[in-house]
Parts: sequence; structure tokens; C-alpha cells
Amino acid sequence: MKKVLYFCVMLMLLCATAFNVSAVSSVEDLVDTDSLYDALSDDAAEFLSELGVDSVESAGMFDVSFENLFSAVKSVFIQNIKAPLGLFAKLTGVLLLLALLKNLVPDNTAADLFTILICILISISGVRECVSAVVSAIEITSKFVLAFVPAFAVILAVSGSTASALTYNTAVMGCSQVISACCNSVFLPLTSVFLSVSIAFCLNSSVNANRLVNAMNKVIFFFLSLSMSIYTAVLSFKNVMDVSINNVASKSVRFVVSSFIPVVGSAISEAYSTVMGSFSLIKGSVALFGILAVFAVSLPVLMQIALFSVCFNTASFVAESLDMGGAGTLFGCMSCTLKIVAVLLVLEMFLLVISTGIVIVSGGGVS
Amino acid sequence: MILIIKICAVVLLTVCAVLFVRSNNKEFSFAVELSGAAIVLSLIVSSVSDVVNQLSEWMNNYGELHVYFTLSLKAFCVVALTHFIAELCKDSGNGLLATCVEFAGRVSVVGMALPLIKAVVLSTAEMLSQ
Repeated sequence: MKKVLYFCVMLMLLCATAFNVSAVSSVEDLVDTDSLYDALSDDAAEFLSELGVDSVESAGMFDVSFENLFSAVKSVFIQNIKAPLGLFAKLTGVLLLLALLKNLVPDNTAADLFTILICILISISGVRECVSAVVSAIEITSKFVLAFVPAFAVILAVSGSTASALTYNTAVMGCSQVISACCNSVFLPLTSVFLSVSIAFCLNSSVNANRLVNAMNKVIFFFLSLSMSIYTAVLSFKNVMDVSINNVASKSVRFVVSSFIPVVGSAISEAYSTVMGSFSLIKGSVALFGILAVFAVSLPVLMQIALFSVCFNTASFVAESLDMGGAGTLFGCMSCTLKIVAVLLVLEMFLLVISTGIVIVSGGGVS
Repeated sequence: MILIIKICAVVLLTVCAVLFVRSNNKEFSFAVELSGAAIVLSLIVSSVSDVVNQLSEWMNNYGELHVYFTLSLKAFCVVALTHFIAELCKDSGNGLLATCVEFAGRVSVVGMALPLIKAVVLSTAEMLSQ
């Protein structure tokens, strides 16, 4: 009788404390994936769909083949090659024509002045196009980071990496906003000023504009690479510490569960490990989506800049071959300016890629 | 080919004439030289206009390039003309006139370059205000 009563009481207690539970079956249960997609530009979304990535938890994400990647990059290349090629054709035509006319004129000063002015007017549209594309790409990347980082931090926290989530959220959000603000309010205007000064110096043959451009290039590259190295080092060290904290927390949870829950404690502890393992899969999938998305936003712009840079370098070679040193220097300055602008975009892109990579590679949380 | 033979012939005859006239009457030698140069220039004008028309026809399809090219062609013509006149002035011993012509040519070239300089400044300002 006593045993029956004990059984009934236990059954009543069990029923009274019952609550609804459900498994996290998809990424959508954890984060708002629509906001991640909305933050991307149409071109980037199109690039991702060409790769076979249609959603955050797309099965095709881990099956991105080299063939798909090559095909997507090829289509971006074809889209972007027309403008630089057209510009190069125009510049070469003008240079050849002006070189021909220059030989007919006894005084070369006027010929050089007109050559440089015409070359500036033709080529400045290409540089402006690249600069505005970079501004837009940095804005989109920054917007995407604002949507992605909190979502990824939630996944990190749920998967047991609470300390890493906090560090990741703070570091990437903070740095991304700082870089975006610096790029838009300091570096890009500075680049425009720098290009304007180079143009003014190119019009005056007594000043060597190439040296100024190279010196400026070196200073900007040095500071940007230094700041990125410091950021990576600090984040890596912080993450190593966070992984230890996460492991201690995870082991403590497992110890408490297996020690204090009678009979099924060890089974729940093992189930905890399995659930955390499945979260790692979701974590990897979302991280890969983030990296691919940033890559998709930046690749067309970087390719555009690279093609324009090649166009200007080749035009510089043509100008110097035709004994038009002023025009050659001008194209060299424009190519250098494009390199600086590209570095700013790469910095914004690598911030998310490196930070996410460090968090994913170092792992932690489950052991 | 025929044109260049004609020009060479005219120049050769003019040089002989100038040498002959200079030994007899020095004052007229410059007039002979000038008329020879005028004949050579008149012979060139038609071929130069052919070249310019051909180039302008090519450039017609390129919008803004046509404007830039026309401007630079005009400037080159101004430079060539002022240089020619300045050399003539120097030959006749009028150094001051030569300098004046060269200066006028430079001012004229800068005047022609002004629309281009304005366009460059506007483009740069637009880029800075982006």
C-alpha cells in the first residue's frame, strides 16, 4: 500500500511539473534569417544563388563546388570587364592620336597639357565609379555585419561558447562600425583629396607626383596592416582564454547533471554533449553563410577595382612608350588610389572573415 | 607623293632665289623667302584639312572625345602657326615681335585649355563632395 501511494505521489508530481519542450530543428528557430538576407544587395544574393546557397541553412552551402564558384566568378568578371576595357580603348586611342599630333607641333608644352587634361577627363569617371562602388559595398557589409554578428553570437552562446559570443559580438560589432565610420568619414575623403593633389601635381611637370603617391600608399598600408595585425592577435588571445572558460562551464554543467540527477543523469549529460555537437553544425553553417555573403558583396567591387587598376597600369605603360611621361604618372597615381580604396574594402571584409574564422577554428564549449 | 615633290621643288627654288637675290639686293631676299613659305603653306593646307576632316569624322561617334579632340587640334594649330610666325620674325631680325607672337600663342592656348581645366576642376570637386 505504501509503495502504491509513493508511486501515485511521484506520478502526480511528474504530471504537475511537466512542461512543453521542442527541439531546435533549424537555424530559423534561433535567428531571424530573413534579416540576414535583407541586409544583402541584390547582386550579392544573386551571386549566392549561383553558388547554390539559397538560404542560411541551405544544404548546398557545404557542397559549393569549384565549378559553381568558377562559374559565378566568371559571370562577375564578364559583367565588370566592359567598363575598364572601354576606358582602356578610349585612353589608348587618345594617347596614340595625341602622340601623332604632338610630333607635328614644334612646342611640346601645349601638347603635354592637353594630353593630361583629356586623359584626366576620360579616366576620372572610372575612379569615381570605383570609389562609389566601394562606399556602397562598405555600407552593405556594415549593414550585414549589424544583422549577422548578433545572430551568430546567439548561436555561439546557445552552443555553449558564451564567453566567445560576448567577445565576438563586442569586437566585431565595435570594430566594424569604427572601420565603416573611419572609411566613410576619413579614409575615402582622404583618398579623394589625395587623388586631386596628384592630378594637380601631374599638371605641373616639375613635381614628381609618383613619389608622393607611393609614400602615401606606404603610410596607409602600414597603418592598416598594423591595426589589423593587432586586432587579430588580441582577438586570438582573447578567444583562447574564452575557449578555456567555455570548456570549464561545459564540464561543470555535465558534472552537475550527471551527479545530481539520479538514474538518468549520465544519459542527460551525454545528450547534452550531442545537442551541443549539433549546435556546432549550425554554427559552422551560419559562419560559412556569413563568410560567403561578405565575399559575395565584396568580390564584384574588388574585381572592378582590379580590372580598372590593370587598365590604368597598361595605359601608363602605353603613355610612357609614347614619350608622354605626364600621362603615365597620372595613370600610375590613379592605379595607386584604387589600390588604397581596395585595401579599405578588404579590411572591412576580412574583419568578419578572420573573426568568424578564429571563433570557429578555436571551437570550445563542448568537449 | 606628288605633293611632297612639289613642296621640295618649291623650297629648292626658293632657296636658290633667296641666295641669288641676297647677293644682289639684300632687302628683297626676305620677301622672296616669305613668298616661298606662303606657297609651301598653301600647298600643305589642303592636305592638312583632309587629315583634320578624316580625324573629325572618326571622332564624331565618341561624343565628348570629339569636343576634347577639336579643342586640342585648334590649340596645336595655334602653336604651329605662332611658332612659324615667330621664326619668321626672328629671321627678319624682329626679336621683340617674335616674343610677342609666342606670348600671344601661349595665352591663346591657355584660353583654349580653360574649358578643359574647368571640367577637370568640376569633376574633382564632385569626387571630393561624394
